[in-house]
Amino acid sequence: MKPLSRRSGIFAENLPEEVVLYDKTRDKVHCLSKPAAIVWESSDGSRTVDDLARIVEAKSGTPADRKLVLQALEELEEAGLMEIGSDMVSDAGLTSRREAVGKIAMAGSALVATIVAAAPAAHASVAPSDPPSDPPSLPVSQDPPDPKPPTGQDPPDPKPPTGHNPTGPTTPTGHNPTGPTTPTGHNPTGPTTPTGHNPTGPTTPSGHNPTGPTTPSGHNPTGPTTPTGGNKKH
Amino acid sequence: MPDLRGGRGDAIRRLLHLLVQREGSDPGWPPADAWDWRTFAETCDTHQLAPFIHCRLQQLTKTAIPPELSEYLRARFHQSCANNYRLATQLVSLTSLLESEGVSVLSFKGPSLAMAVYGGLSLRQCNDLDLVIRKDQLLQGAHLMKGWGFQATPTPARPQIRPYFCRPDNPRHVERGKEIEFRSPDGTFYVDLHWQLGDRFWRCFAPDVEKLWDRAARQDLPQGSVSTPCREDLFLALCAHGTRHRWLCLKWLLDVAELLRKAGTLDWSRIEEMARIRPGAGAAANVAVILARDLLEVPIPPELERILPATGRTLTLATAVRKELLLRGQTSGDEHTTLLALEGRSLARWNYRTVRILRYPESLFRQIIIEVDPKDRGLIRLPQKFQFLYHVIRPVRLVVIYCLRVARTLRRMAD
Repeated sequence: MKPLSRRSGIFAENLPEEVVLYDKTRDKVHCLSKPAAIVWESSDGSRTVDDLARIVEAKSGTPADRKLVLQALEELEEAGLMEIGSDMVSDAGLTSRREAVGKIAMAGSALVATIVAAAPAAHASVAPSDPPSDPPSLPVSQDPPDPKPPTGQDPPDPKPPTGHNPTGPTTPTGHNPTGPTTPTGHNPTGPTTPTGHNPTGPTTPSGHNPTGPTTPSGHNPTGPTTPTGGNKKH
Repeated sequence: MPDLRGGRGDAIRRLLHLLVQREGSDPGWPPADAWDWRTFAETCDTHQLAPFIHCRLQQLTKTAIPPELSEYLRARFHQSCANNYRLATQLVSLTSLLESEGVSVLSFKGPSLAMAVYGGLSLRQCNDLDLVIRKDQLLQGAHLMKGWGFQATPTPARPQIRPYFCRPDNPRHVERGKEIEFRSPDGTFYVDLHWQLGDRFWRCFAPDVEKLWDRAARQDLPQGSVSTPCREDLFLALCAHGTRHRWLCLKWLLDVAELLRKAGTLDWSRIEEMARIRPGAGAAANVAVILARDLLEVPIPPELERILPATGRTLTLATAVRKELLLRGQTSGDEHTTLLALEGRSLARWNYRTVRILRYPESLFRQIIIEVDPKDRGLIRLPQKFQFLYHVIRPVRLVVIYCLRVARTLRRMAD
């Protein structure tokens, strides 16, 4: 079998030594090191692992072997950047790719860093005039902190009880990147509110949507979102 | 707190040096233990340039880059990257929602700017969303946003903003101010809703907000597309914004520099026309162009010197900003001083001073009574026990000086 990378729903941003991939379907951001980026770009379903190793070596100018390519493929697959069913175990001639990669991963560093949306550290349209006096702390883990509201209010419910898209994944804040759905589960393209709620029925700060949106004069043009209070927080 | 002036000045010079480096060159840094790379990292954060510097360093030879610095910048890059993509998602959702309710909005700065100027979302650190809204739709827009759970609130970065400035139904604020800041329902990001690009005294230095709508363009983002000001309006608006804040943050200057490096994408005749109608906007842009040329070695198109001619005021201001930056690593960001340096109309200056005094009486009290300066001491030498009399001498001296200035101005106007 020859690996095939997933291209649909992926936005790629090429940087000098890495590639940033935005997975629109899963609303996730991945930073690929140069070898992983080359493997991802070159995995078109027609190349073997050995071919990929040669391409990586030629393009990156650094020695690359099957193990490196396998590690990259493993991480790409874990990140959801390979087509389902694309596998290279038999082609690699290994009894277990995971076993092989595991040995490499013990010593090597990650080739694919998946970074999910983190809460902004602070609002800074204007940079603070006094830089911090403490020396900067070294890198934080790639798992972002859980975004907690500063005022102690509960965060929005990540998944509305109704009106959500059962097939579409949600972001950590409950956002559905494929767009919100109507109470009947339709409307795949419409926008969501910034918290992932249904645009036809904005919620109150507490997450309820008793009446739907109102005009400045208090008129409610559309009525409730769902019969059951679709955006209600639970 | 230790005096970091020397360290910061050194760090800013390294930073500027890096920003003008070309691919494959060597930053020429000494070994990691021989220089203060931590202050450099702080400076990158202060100027919100860590993601850009992370990518720039990868293009250069890596021999002298301390591994800790490299890791630090990489982490910052990842943080910024994730945040930008998240903000872009929210931006597309929010603008779509507002537009679906009949409220026109333009995305200004933030992710749409990153996409327009850098071609991607990862190089520019974005902190919030800035939306421009028509003044007559402000109430509707604010009402909708409140309905969606946003809260109009002063941001942590600017706690001095008084609560009544957060009310869109406050006609005084709408007339004189420029924006209301909203906190998202989950408290993780802010949206600035602008109906002007500058408050009362800064408007003349920014493009006419009413004209933005006719020239608006669409900007594609990975998550969808949004309306933005055209590149020429964007250029002038960025120059006005940076100048207003005295180029406190080098990220803003880099935005302008990147636009200037892609000068072919700008319609200079349109900018010429805009600067003719709004000379203030031309002056602010000229300051930006001078700084981009002097600090970031941006080649300036020849026609730009004709379109945005340097004046004594713009040259003086640009020189002062440059000196401040190189000496301290960051400018004071003082809008008051900057506006007074750039505003050439005497009446406008007086008007601004008066309004500022009325708005911030405590600052007037401090400046007139408390802050005794060498000129007061030079007027008369008082023994130690009579030092308090300087607090009486100073206001008298200032009253005399200002009376003389008013008289001179009136005489000049009469002539």
